[in-house]
Amino acid sequence: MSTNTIKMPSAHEVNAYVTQVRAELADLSPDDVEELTGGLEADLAERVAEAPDGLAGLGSPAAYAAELRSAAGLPARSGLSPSWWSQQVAVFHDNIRDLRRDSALANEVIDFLVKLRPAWWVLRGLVIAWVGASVVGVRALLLPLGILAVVASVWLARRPKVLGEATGLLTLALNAVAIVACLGWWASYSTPGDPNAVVYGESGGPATGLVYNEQSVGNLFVYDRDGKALSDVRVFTDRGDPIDLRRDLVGDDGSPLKGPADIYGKDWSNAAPVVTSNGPFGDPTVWTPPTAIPPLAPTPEPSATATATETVDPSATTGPTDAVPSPTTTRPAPRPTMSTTAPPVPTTTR
Amino acid sequence: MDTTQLVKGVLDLAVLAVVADEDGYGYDIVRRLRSAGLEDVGDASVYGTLRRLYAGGSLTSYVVPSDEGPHRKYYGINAQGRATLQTQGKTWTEFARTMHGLLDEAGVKA
Repeated sequence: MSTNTIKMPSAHEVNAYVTQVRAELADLSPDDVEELTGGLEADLAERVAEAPDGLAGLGSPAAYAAELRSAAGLPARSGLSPSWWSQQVAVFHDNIRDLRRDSALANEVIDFLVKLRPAWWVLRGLVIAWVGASVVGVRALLLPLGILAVVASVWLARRPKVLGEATGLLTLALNAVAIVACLGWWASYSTPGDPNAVVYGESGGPATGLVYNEQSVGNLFVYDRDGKALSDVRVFTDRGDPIDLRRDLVGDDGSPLKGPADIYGKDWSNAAPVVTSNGPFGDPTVWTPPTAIPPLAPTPEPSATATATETVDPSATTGPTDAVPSPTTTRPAPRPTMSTTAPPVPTTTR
Repeated sequence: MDTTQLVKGVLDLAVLAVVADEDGYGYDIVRRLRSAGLEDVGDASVYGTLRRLYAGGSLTSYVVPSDEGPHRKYYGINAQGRATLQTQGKTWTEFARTMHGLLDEAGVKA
């Protein structure tokens, strides 16, 4: 076939001309534009190679586009000149076209991505719904919002005529929101934590919630020295931040779960453990907290304090550690060292 | 008389006539029309007409990829296009005969 041996003396000029023609047609649907200008580069390149007047014989891109429209029975352009947005769209489509032409691999990748588009429309809808439900803070809305958003997302992808040029901008905005949400999601799951570190991140930070040994901690269970499970223990970090265990939880009515209030009416969202109507929050298939654990061994009598102290922590007797728990305490066992009401624990001397 | 105006009225018919024998891509069809004598036909008019005939169901279209350059879009006639060619061709022939007789009576020789 002789058509495959085209001389292209000014392929760049031809491409630029075709880009301008497409920009003039940008108010039409992408299908119409493709229908009118598909294969135009090849045709014009051949014409330029053949005709002495080259591109000049075709007239301006605007006139060419107007002739295309009138011959195709399409309405004349509504606006005076192509809008900034439609020009960007035309340039983008042109770049894709160039990429497809220049690289067989890129062509295959783009074909593959085009096939995946319906999956993206559905995912985009779900992510938008998830963002929406998170913003409102009502998890029960996720299902109805999700169905609605998927339908809307697919509808938008079919480029409804009623939206006109807003379709492109809306698509761009929703894609951006969905991509940012996905990236944020991914980042919050893939950020490695310091082993043994308790991280309490700000929202949008490297990690959110309570993390221990790189695992997210959903609840804390606290036992006193007698081995009895405690309830409504208020937990703070070493920075004085209350550890909010209820941050992502909602109650049965869908509203954010609050902790018990104190005598002044302030909510203590850091009261542990969190108990829901189904029992303690957590995964009972992983671990069911017992109601009691073995009590600690009896403490020595107050008369034996001095000797006991020396065996536990010799430095405490010499250092100025008056009324301060020793930093060399071996394990962070549930031992109420700071409690003023607890029985005397021989970690300090006076 | 400006033949551009005349061509506009019969471009559908002319395009159907040149693709009736063999499928062709846009510029190929432009070239066939010009070599047949329709020198004033505009490139864009032909492309627009091809698109309209395709949208109207008279033509089929397919893309032929090329290793060396951009792909080409070919158009071919289908059954509906052939039927249109027949009926419109008959209309045109009758119209031309009428005009011919009219001019003959007025003493104009072709």
